Amino acid sequence: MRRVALVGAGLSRFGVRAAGFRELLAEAGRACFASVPHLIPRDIEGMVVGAVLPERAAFQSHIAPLAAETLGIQPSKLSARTEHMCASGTAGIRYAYAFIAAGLADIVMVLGVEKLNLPNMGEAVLNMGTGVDRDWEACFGLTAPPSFALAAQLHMAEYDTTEEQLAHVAVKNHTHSSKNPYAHFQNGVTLDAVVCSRMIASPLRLFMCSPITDGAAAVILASEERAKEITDKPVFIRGTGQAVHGFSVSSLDPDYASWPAMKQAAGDAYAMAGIAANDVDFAEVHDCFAIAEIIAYEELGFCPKGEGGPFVMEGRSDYDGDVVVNPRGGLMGCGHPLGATGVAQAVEAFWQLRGEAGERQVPQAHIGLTHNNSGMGEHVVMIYGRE
Amino acid sequence: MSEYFRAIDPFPLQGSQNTRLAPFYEALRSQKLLTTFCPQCALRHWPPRVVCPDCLSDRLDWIELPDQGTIHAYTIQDTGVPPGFPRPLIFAVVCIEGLRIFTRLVETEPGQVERGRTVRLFPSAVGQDPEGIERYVPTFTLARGGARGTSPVKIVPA
Repeated sequence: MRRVALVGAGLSRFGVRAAGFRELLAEAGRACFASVPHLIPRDIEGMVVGAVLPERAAFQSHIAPLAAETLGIQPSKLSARTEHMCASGTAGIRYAYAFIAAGLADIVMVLGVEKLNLPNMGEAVLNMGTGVDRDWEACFGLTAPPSFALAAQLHMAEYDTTEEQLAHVAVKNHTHSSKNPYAHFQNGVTLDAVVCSRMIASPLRLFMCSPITDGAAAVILASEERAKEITDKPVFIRGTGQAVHGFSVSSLDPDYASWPAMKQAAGDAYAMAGIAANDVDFAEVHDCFAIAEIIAYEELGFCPKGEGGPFVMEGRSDYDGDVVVNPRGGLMGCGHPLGATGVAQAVEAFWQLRGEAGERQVPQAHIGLTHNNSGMGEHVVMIYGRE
Repeated sequence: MSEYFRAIDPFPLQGSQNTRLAPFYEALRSQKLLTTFCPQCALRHWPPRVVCPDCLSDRLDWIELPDQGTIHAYTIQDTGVPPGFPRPLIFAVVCIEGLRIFTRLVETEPGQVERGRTVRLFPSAVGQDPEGIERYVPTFTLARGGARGTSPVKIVPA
């Protein structure tokens, strides 16, 4: 297999945007090209687009050709859309990675995009129910918050994890996103504000949840040879892993506080990269809800099982700690435009590993990890490195 | 906008012209909880299947489950409830003879819900399908008297 690197990256602003689906993807695609001075749209051989709900929220399918045409790209080697609920963006990156590694293409854009906010927010909430099992879960009104609340309930019962520890995840990530000009939330939040915010699904309060956000993100992947022609600072994909243990809540391991699929995906990615958890300098993890980040510390191997709560309280997942988790502000701070999230995590890895993250820069960043999930039993992990 | 939401049907079509699981829904209408059983694997499934995930056989039997179980985990959602559903929503994972059944508790005071409490089947009507069949989903309610089950927490995967 050939080595593959990121050579360009760009974002749209995330938030409740006065912009349509096509405008959001144009904004991110344009920003991505701006990061690679000598590359033009006609140089791109492939287009992969991660998008979850365009049929519902924009009355639009046929997404990859739409995105290519919008950006002046005429794919000659690869054109596809990836849909894997909240992990759609990273699923797209893996697809492009495999094509390039196999020699089927040399340079591919991966774009993630979602327009979720609609004039009627009831419709936006109802749309999110399409990501769970309609026949056996969505028929009861299930969306993501109560699923992850079940994990939080069990984690609190089994490991004495506290509401204050969950709140610390939110405070940390909102502090990080206050230094991110692309983030949905840039004002920070106090511990009091988090624990007094309204209950969404017990024990998860408003600020312990990621919001409904519009946004887009784009990266360009290239073979090592092509990457070195394009930039003197390529960011290499060092490892990747994905595991899916179950789709519906009923089929998961009954201990929802443990996510073995995540451990498996991370283990495969570490082995491929030839590194261990303690080699990771920063990680963008899927903090759709505060409990997910606490469990991520444990399953990624940053701390032993059950110690995720103390890990965040002691500052070990922050700057000057063991590993900086969610330097861009994560899903809680940046928002979660489903298909865009995984690609936005890659954009942050690109900036951090090139020393271009500004106020958020993690010192001496050599290895970055991204983790994207699409449910408690479905996880994908990427490892990026300067070399 | 209510007509608009009604156009989005989040409930399964339950008649035999639309699903091989129609016997499940027919039984549910008479307050019975069925699921599929693979005689080849001696495996009970939840939810009901059309193909056994272990041996891929499509010759499955219907069996009746007890209509009572215990709460393994629950959460109460106050905010962000999809349109058309009541507030709050009480979601629970209910254990019935080793199967874990994701469901919603209805006709239940949120403050009364505890892990380990016994619940019983209490199907909810969710409206007719386009053929005029009254549809039900398998919701539960707290069993009268608040009886507690035994050893509620540790369960073996089905």
